Amino acid sequence: MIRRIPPHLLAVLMLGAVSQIGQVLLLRELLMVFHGNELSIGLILAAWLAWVGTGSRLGAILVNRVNRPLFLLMLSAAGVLLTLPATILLIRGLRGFFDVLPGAYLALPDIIITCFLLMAPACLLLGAQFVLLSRVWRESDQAEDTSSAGKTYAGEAVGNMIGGILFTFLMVRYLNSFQSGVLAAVLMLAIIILMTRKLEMGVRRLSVRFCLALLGLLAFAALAFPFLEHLDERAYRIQWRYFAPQYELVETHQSKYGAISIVQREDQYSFFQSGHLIFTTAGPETVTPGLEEQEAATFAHFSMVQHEKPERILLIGGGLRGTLSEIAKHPVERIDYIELDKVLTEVARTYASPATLEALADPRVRLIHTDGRLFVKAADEKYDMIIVDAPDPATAVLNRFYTEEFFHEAEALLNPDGVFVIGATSTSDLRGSAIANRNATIYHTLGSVFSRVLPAGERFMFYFATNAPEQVSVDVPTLQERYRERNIETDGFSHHHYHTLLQESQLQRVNWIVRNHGRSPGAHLEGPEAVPLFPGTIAEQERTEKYLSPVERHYFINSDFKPIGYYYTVMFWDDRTHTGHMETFKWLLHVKSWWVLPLVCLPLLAVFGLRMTARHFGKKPDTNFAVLCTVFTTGLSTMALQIALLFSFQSIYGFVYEMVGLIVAIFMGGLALGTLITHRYVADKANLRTLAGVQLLIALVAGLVAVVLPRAAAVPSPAFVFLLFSALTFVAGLINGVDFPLAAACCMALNRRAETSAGTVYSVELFGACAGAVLASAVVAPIFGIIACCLLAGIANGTAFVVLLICRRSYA
Amino acid sequence: MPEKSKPDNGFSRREFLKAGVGGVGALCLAGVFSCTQERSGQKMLSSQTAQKGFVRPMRSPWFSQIDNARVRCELCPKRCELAEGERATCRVRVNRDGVGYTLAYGNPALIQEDPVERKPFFHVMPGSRTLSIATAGCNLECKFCETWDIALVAPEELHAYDMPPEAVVAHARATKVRSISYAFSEPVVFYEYMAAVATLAKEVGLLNLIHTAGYIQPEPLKELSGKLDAANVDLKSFDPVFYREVVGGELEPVLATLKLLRDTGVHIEITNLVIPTLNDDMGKIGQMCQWIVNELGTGVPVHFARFYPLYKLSNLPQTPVSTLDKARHIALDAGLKFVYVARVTGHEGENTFCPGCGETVIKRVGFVIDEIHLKNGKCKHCGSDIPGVWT
Repeated sequence: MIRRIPPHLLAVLMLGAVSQIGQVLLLRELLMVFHGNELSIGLILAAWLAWVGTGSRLGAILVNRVNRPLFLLMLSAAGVLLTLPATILLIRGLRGFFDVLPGAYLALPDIIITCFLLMAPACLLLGAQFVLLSRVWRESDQAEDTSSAGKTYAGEAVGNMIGGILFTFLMVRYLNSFQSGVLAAVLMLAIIILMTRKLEMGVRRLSVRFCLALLGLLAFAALAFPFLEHLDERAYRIQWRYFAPQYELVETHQSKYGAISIVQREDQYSFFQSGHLIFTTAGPETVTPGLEEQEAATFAHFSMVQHEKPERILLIGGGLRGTLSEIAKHPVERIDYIELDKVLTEVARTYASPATLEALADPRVRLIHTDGRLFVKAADEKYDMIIVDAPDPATAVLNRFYTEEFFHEAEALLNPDGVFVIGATSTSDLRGSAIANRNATIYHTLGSVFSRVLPAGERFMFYFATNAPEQVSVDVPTLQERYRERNIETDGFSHHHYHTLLQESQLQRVNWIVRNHGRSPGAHLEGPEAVPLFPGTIAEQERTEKYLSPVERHYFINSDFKPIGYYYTVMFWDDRTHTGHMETFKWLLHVKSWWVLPLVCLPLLAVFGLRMTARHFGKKPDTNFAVLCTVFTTGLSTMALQIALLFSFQSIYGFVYEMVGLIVAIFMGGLALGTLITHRYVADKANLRTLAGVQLLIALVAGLVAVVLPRAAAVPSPAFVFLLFSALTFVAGLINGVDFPLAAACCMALNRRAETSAGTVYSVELFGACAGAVLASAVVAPIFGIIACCLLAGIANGTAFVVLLICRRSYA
Repeated sequence: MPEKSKPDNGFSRREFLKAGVGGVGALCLAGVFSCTQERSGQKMLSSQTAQKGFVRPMRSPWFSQIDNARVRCELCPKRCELAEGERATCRVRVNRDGVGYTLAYGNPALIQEDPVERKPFFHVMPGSRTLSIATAGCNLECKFCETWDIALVAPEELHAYDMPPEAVVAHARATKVRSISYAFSEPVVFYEYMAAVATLAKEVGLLNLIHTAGYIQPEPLKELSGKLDAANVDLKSFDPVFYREVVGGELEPVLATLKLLRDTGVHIEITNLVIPTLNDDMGKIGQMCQWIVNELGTGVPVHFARFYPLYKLSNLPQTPVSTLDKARHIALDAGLKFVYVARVTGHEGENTFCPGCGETVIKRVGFVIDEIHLKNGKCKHCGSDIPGVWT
């Protein structure tokens, strides 16, 4: 089989696979060190794209100056073999370089600097390989044009797909990060050596000593493979020593959703997912598990008494920290407990308190491993209470549990007198715009769905929402009565706790803030007004609320299609790291949609300016600019569309890792096919006119996605949703894939060499993607919405279309 | 530590207080009279709204002149030297045209009613309500700060109420609280305001309670202590390195504060926030307890508070209850008679046990008083004295 596949194709596929595996590995490792919010995910991705782009540009400069590309390829593959594990090792020890306290988050500047510094070596090598492989392929085809670059581009996309599948289904299950990285890089090196021999290009010129050295390296890597297990363990210990000295790292598990680490101190076990503290449990040996897991007990008993007679409960997340066992102490008929990550529940069983284990074995409890959104959408049973015990909405995925659409879905699943409970981190007086905006947004979003919402809390804010207003209460005697009637025995909670949870002045203040904030045009920028000295009782506040100004929906309603909740959570994280970037975040909130106009005008002005220069000097800098501008916008729109499609798929369908992976794979497949089709059928029409047509087509497809996406939410069948998204994703990938070979050919037509053109186009496209990643995920999606991401893509390519038209006119 | 030089700005503290109390008092005289009626007081204050960045710059006597342009703040051991226009590290004390001013006077960012147990004071009028006030600013920079959104910001960044000392006292009377607490941020940085409020509060029979990190110079503390009824001092660790690196101060001045409070007869309670890995070394906790026993006596209540992942340390797990239990046992073994576990609601360590008979004198759940067996500061079971402010 392999004999029939050209060796350079194998090498290209391998480059794609290694790129994908390397990217996922470094992303997972870096998230262990950074705060895993959407901004840091966007920054890591941006750093990756920017460096691969730079690598490709440098490769383009280098490739024409050497006559032994295979030698360079071997060197770069060997470099990847060394740098990938070295980078992982450095990331594990990263906190040692910073003066941060145990448990402290790294600040934004630290994140930006480190992810750009650490990713550079591996990304530069991988970027350069793209250009080198393009040349090898071209020489193998004995062609002079950029068709081989197009094939390399398509092959790499297919390789990405394969890499993603390999990682998800095999590597994450059976190998640690070092083993995955080394295995991928060793295979890459082996294939390049194989290719070198097969092609017999310059192999005789390579010294025997050099070949032996490379083979020795390969053999060493293969032999070292078992020892990488040991290295992984050591590296984790180093990482945790910096992160939480004096804590004992008990276990580390790889789950497709992120690395799970369990650390122990005394009789307490803390669970971290992707380096983020998710919960602590009282260990099996704890004498007073109720006190140790008091937060969970409070969450459970404060929530459960909000319903007079809750019988059927849906608990989404949080059960393992003690919430489940405390809920089970109420006389309920059934608890459906949803947990996304099976690895987490399996691991937690060893370190859970006896009460949690007992609850998991309780016949009334049904543990279901699935995505909460997916379950709520598909469930046909009704519940008296839906309790969401999820982490704060720091990412687009977590934000799905705080959106208007989810609240509507939950409402539909509740009995008419049912109660919905959700909570989020807070501060005692919600000072500062970040936390006030976030928590007022949750309140107003709930208020747009349920007829009554009661917020209560201090450093954690509970929201009780219902359409049966008499059901929820902040009246201490009422809640105490409900609690007493149920004869609950627990050592972490008592009826007295309701007094502490509902301390009157605190309750009145936080209610006043979340009810009043978000009702004036500049509220999202200015933060909340100060609470009056006498804010009034809750009953008074509820009575007067209807006379307040309406809520500013744009900034205070969180939805699947405008996930502003995660933006505010990122702001709050910045507030807590106290690095003083609040003004930047606020400035971004100032951004208006018309600000895109100057951005559109810039390339137009530039191309006009260059046209004038061109007439003067008799060159074609305007055309060159126009082609590269096209490439940049395509990179940007590819990423913006991908983010728009992924975010909405996760919300509308659900977050099922394999399905999300499949959507990414379909995109890459479309991209590869688009490139190949272009190569086969329109290669001879690679001119500015075709390129302009493609820009228009991409803009139209982006517009089509913008029109279809909001309607997809109304599709009831999950299978149809998947089909619809597959189709949209495929088309988006396909049309974007068409661009690369055309642009590369146009670029070459401007008196450039094949590899220089391919490398330049590839790097500019990646820079476009880098800009798209940051713009779309950190600003456009949360502030303007998912549809705006599609429109951004449309406008970008529309601009490129106009720029090309201007250039075409200049030829005439 | 450099010796404190006498302020020579020709504006004595007595004069200052007179000016502060008298001058502003004149402006608010009508308000004071009207506030003698609780209902009308409430009505007056209900219209009170806070303004963003409201400050009432007030010349402070706690600055000494270095030269024509530079001043030195003499309030806390940092003794910040400020050039013209410069602001002290606490964010509220500033040199304007060669004169030292405080920007934390009459502009509380927080004014709220709380149970006194929430401060926490466990030996002061159990079950009573207190009026807490706080302005922006703090003279320390704890990396685990729990009130960072008020303590670690400048007054210009916060909404503040226009509340001269008279208005605070009027509000306290209108809401029928038993005491005024200077807490939440660091009261040392709004010393002048606190002193003015405390003077008036004392006159009308309200108790003055302070919750502080105790990072203050002896002289201002001596002057203040005459007005104080009780102080809860955060003894954040017994490790000077921890104080230097994590708290941003020195341990020694805090210990000096505790001794001075002891000498002046102010009721003292101590809070020790136990943070995993940072200050939970049982050896150090033992040393701290021994020092308290030796220097302050066995009757000083000590609260070991549970740390929760907040602010900069949001990724550090909460303190295991067993760690707090260990600390409590060490303290009891050292001879301390009133050792509490704070912020683990329902923990046995929230109760006050009589050192004489071992019976429960006050049973608490969080800040809720469930049972109280105390009469005139004595255990109802055996008559042993329980130190505190009970009437």
